[in-house]
Amino acid sequence: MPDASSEFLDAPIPGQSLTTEPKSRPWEQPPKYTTAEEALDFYVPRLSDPEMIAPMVDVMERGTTVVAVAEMIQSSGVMQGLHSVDVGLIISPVLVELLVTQADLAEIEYKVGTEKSDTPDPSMVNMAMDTVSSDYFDNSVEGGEEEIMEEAPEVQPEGIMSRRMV
Amino acid sequence: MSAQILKAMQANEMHIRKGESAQPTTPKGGLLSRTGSPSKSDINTPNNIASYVKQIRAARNKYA
Repeated sequence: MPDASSEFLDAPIPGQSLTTEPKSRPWEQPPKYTTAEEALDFYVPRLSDPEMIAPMVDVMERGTTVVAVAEMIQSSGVMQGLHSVDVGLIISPVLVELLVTQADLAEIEYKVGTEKSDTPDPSMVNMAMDTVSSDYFDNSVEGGEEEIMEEAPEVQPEGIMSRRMV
Repeated sequence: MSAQILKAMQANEMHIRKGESAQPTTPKGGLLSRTGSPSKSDINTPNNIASYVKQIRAARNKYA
């Protein structure tokens, strides 16, 4: 199962975008569809095609949220140079609605991604555990048993150049 | 990016709620246009997105 650290390691290294020829990538070109309406004209027929929607329905049935699938669709559109990130975000509510409709038509169980989960946020759990553990260690110190530090025995220099003690 | 998509969805919901009392909007351009030939001029994108969502929900309630 992926965690935050693995996502961090998957990120591109600084300067990686400068290792290719400028404007050689599709997303560095002017987008093909500049308005949300044009982008939707591209997406709506494709998201209504049973052959194209089938793998997405499978993914949603396996537990991937609808929002994550919509994000994947619009991100791939940006990477192909179809539209800008802004247009992708603007049309994302429509993509989510289309995916929800397809999931309903396929009669599968799915998660939209807006539901409040029963499990607490892992970061909050970690914070609580840190607080509890720090309190525990603080109490052990405040217990009154102050450890008396034994003085280390004085070590006499034994080297050749050391001063002799008379 | 998912957080931004959720924000866009919330903004769209607010736009739909604001326009509930108003007349139902139909997109002036795009695939779901009801006004004939798609026009790229005078496009009100928030209204169009809200209209798309409302029409898709209506179709879902009817057929799904």
